[in-house]
Amino acid sequence: MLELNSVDAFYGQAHILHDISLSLATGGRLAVLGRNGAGKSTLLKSIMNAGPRVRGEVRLEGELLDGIGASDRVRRGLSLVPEDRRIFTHISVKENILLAQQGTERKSGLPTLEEVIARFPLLRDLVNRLGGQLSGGQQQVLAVARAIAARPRLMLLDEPTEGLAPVIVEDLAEKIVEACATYGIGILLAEQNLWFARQCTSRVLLLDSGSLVFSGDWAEFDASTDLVERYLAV
Amino acid sequence: MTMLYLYSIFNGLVLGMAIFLVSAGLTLAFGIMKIFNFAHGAFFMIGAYVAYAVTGQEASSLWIFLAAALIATIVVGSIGVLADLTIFRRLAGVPADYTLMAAFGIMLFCTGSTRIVFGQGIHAIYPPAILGGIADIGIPISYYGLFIIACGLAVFLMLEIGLNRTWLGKQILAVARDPWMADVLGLRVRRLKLISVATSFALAGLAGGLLVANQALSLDLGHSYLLLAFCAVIVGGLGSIRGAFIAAIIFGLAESLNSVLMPTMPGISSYALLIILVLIRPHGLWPEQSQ
Ligand SMILES: Nc1ncnc2c1ncn2[C@@H]1O[C@H](COP(=O)(O)OP(=O)(O)O)[C@@H](O)[C@H]1O
Ligand SMILES: [Mg+2]
Repeated sequence: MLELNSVDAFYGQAHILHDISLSLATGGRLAVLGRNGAGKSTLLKSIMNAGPRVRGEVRLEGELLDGIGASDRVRRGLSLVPEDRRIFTHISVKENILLAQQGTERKSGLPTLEEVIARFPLLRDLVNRLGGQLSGGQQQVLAVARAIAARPRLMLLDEPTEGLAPVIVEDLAEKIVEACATYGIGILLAEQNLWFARQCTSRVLLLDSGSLVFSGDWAEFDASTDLVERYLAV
Repeated sequence: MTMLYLYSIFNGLVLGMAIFLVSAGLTLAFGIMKIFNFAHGAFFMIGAYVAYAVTGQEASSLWIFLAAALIATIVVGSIGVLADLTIFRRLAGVPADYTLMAAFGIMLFCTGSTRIVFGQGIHAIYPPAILGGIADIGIPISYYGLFIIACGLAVFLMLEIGLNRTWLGKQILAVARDPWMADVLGLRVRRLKLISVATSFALAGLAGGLLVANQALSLDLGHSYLLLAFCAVIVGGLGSIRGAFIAAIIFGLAESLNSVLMPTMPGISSYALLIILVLIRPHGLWPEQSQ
């Protein structure tokens, strides 16, 4: 479904990603690990065309996405949950969800608001609350719910566990996997929380200084004993 | 003596509403483009000239006067669409300084074109007869002043409701506050910006059409309110309609009372207020939070 061939990404003159190639099948679930500054967010934003300047091929369902802006990529089935959540504070939880659904411009096939809320019961009592009145954790859950409500082919999740309490993290992993299985949503997850990444995905990429240093499934990851030590330990 | 104060308070309210009419579009444009649109005063002036072209020196009825203001709104709003499509949109990705310079260029262009079309002269414009009268309730209250107050309130309410209660308005605010996320959610950001810029310009045209009476209409008209409108936008909180409304009234009252209390030092209290209010509320009286 998603394919990157020799992708390089830049911020101004700074060369951030080097020669990244990867592919992800429909409904596939892939984790991107790496230290702070490794380039995880840059990779997700490059796929979305939402910031970095990108060279190389990004294909979705075979279509080359060259020159297609972020909002048009939404309509082709991508959805990004950014690392800083970016909930709109001036509108309600419900309206945040509706806004994301409107962005897809799809007339059918989207989950109803009630279905979305049923999947994320934490939001039930907050439906009419303004985005700005939510706690950080609630905003994070809303950010994920908002992306799922758009029912993308592929959801790009950027460190959704950052700053969340451990109980919520556990619950969120379960909710994400369940919803994505139901709606046929693939996942590309940037994470530093190994436990969460393992729950949500079946394959792993490891980034270091903008280059891919490992790609495989979790069993292979565990078999390469020095990976965590070399690329993830602080 | 009390009567004198009451009279100057009434005048202050009228002036405040006039300032608000000019600053409404200015602060809306700031919210979207993050620049002070220097061309705003020029578009205000064009609105006034368009209304003058429709009505002549004195509109023959209130309806003609209102129709002229509406035509000014539409004409200047359409120029806003053109300005966005040909200029502002292209500058979306570059530093804001360029947009600022473009706005300055547009201002010069507008003043120049207006000079070519309407000439250098100064025209005295009167309100339609029905608004020309004065009610004496102890102090002389001009109908035109009351009319301006009503217009200011109506524009304020329309913007408040339009931006905060309608779905389109909420989307426009989403783009103003976080254009990046709006884009990433799939919103039609360019279209929403176009609507906002056109609305901002249309408001300038409307203000020109409404405020043209009792003014000496000349190429300098844009400057007359623009300075106070800038003050209101800054003090109100950049991009905030409510803030601009409150600040405009404060500046209107200050100007008017100033002319009674300190007639030898015109305008001094506005400058003092600007400095004091910016010192104590640097983000404005009613800051527009952004992300
Ligand atoms: N907007 C930006 N402008 C310039 N450099 C950036 C920008 N965003 C990130 N970087 C740089 O790109 C590199 C990768 O950052 P990022 O993708 O955010 O890493 P991660 O998400 O893995 O922590 C870092 O060195 C960072 O300093
Ligand atoms: Mg990151």
